[in-house]
Amino acid sequence: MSTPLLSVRGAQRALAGNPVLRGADLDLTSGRVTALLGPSGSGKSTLLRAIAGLERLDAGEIRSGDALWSARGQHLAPELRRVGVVFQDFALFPHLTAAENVAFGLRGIPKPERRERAITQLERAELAHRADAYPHELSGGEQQRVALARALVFRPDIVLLDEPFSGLDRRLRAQLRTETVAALRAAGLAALLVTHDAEEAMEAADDIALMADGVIVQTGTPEEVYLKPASLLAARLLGDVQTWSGKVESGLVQTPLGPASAAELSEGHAATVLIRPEGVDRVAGGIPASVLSKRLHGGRARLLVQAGGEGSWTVETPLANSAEPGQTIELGLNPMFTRVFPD
Amino acid sequence: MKVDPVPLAGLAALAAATPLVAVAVLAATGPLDGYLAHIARTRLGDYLLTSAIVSLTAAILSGLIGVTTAWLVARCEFAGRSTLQWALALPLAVPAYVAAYAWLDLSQAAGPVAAMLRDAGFDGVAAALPAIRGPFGAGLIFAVTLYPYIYLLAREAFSGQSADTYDAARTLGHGPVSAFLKAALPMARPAIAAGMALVVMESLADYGAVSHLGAPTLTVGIVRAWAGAGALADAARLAIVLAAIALLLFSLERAQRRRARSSAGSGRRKPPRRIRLAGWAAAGAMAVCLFPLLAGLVLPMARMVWLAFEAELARGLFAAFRHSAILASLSGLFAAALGLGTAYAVRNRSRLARISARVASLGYAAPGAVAAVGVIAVLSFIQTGLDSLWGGRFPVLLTGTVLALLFAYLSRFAAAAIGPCESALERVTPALDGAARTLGEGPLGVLRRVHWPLVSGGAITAGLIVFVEVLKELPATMILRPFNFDTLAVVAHNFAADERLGQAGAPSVLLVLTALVPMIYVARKIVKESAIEELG
Repeated sequence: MSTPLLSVRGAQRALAGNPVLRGADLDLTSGRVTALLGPSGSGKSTLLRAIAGLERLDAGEIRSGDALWSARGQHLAPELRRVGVVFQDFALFPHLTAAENVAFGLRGIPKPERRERAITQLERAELAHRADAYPHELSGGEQQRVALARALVFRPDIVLLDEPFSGLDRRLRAQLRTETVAALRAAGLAALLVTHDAEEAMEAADDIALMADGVIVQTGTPEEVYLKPASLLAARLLGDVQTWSGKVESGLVQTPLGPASAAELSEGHAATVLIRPEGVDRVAGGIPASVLSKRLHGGRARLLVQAGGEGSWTVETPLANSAEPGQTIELGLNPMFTRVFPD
Repeated sequence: MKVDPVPLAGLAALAAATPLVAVAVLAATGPLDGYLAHIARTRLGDYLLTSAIVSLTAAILSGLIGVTTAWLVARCEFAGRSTLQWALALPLAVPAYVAAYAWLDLSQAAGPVAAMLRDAGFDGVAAALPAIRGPFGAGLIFAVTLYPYIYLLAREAFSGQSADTYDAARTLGHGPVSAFLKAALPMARPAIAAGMALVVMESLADYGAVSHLGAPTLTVGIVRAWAGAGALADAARLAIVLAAIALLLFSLERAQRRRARSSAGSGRRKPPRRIRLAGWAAAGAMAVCLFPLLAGLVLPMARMVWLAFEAELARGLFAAFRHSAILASLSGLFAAALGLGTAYAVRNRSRLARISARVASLGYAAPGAVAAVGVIAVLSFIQTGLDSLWGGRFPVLLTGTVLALLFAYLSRFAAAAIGPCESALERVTPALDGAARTLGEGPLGVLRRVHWPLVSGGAITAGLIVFVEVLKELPATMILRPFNFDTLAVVAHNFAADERLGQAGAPSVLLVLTALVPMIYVARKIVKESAIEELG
């Protein structure tokens, strides 16, 4: 991995007396899209705003290369950072046309050239024909593309996107996500995508930074953070999890759905086993479980089962290999998805 | 039971439209008695020029004051901000003519400021002190008393703008000042323009201040034509000119307000977090916000109180207060009822009601003097009709009654009541009606338990706004009041016109105090409501 273009270390910030950032660390690297994933209120937007220079830091620092951007008592004004920002709901200037919005950040260039560059940027988003439309005349998707064009047109090294797809409907969202990420990669810049949607983060990003309660709890590639969550909290941010508390006995923790390997934990230690619905397989000779109900979940089946007389569990199976309520099936834990944390 | 609100809307429209129509009819058909020709040769040009200077000065200065204070209060945090944000609206309780009395008195060569300077040995400075009078002086007075129109609209615009657009401008390479000028200000421009149109309309409608300061505008011309020369038809012809200008401004104001709504910005409205000012910046912001409050309310009031204590109390003060209170309260009540009725009628999607509401809001464009001339015209048409029916002089005289006054007030101010009622009713969505009905509440119960709690605030605000406006109203009151029926405004004006400013003090102070109480309520409510909107 190359050296980060931007690094945040120990960022702290309180808003109206409430600590929102409590020592967040984050790196952004050229040519990579980093997703900042966390529940609402975890401090994602504040971290983005701090990087953009719209928020000061109480402690910690933000550096870009050799330049110190933010530290306690030190603050480089946002207009001097030249960071592209796509705001949630886009923040287009309602009194300016699409082209004028895009040209807004081009300064010190003659006016005709400014318009030309704005149009070129809009062409890349296939929006040149809407150049003279006002924001209220644009559809949600068009607004998003104008906002992205506005953030990219002055060729920043860093682009920050704050929930850029949240106001759009599902199908449009997927399409724009693909488009946007392609544009960001093509520009070879360091991008930060703030989102609370785990699927979006895993699909769009090269790296995911998980944020909760004002700190980054884990960073890694989507596969790393999904399969090897550093904590229960991190695991929860990326999808549904179920837990089982038990003790380590001969390197295993016994759960109602079968044993989970806990080789690295000492014998007799209390541990929590993390079970994802997609981490339970139908295996011949496994633990018998009776199916209580069946629902569809994104083209797969989610079964609610009872096993070992210990509560009910959600299990995901391919639709083709599913079962009906009332049936009894045999289950086992897939070690790839199963994690054990010491208590 | 189902009350049909459409007739109320029709009534409001009728009240607003008839005087204007009557003015037009009178101007077209009335006798030409040569007064107009005389005026056109002599003073009409001056009237128009003075009107232009007065209103432009007022618009520019009040724009500066209103926009600056609105930005500070909406986007910055400093000591006293939360009080200032409603207090800045209070100069609306001060009639321009009261501020004019006080400021001319304070600033003239024989006044207290010049005397103090002479006592301190600065004779040269005292002699050079410019007295606040003439067209520019009048513009200045209007600026400090009417800027709240711009302040309130601009504050709403600034605090309603998504903070993101300002931030976006910052990340796109613009410094704080440039971001304000290029992003925040243009987005608020429609609101500011609407406020300026109101300021110009109000300064053109004023009679008391401009006549006291020697800046005769068209309104002065109308009053002189009627009261001085008795030429009602020619007064109507001058009134047509004024009404045409006012209508133009009025349509500009409406158009800008519609734009203000459509330019609120894209998507989510995130309340801007205010920039915290400290030290000198905070002190500066506070000083900037205190200046218009001092100039428009505190200093003129202090001077009038001082004058009132120095002079003998005028007789008839209590009667004048009672008359003012009765007229203002009745108008407030009627206007609130008309406003509420119109708002309901519009909500019921009646076409007639929508047209009525439009027409009724036109009334606001008719300056008091125009409305008064119109009311006289209407009533004398009716009187002529009654007389001929009666076959002699009809025993009841319509002109010069309280009824005529109320008619004029409502024609002018019912419009001011429609707005607050409509916006209150907007909160009562049809879904709420449906929800209450499915929960087992009858139509009357829905009105009582759902509508009234949501709407009453707006209706009360509407009534109080009209109350304050009627209290301050001078030209229509002067022209239409019954014999021996003085109001505080008329008493203050008469004493001031007689150069007996001491006696004008007490009625002025009483008037402002009476207006100040409802004004405080209204101002706090406006600020509180937009705060809720910001949160929502």
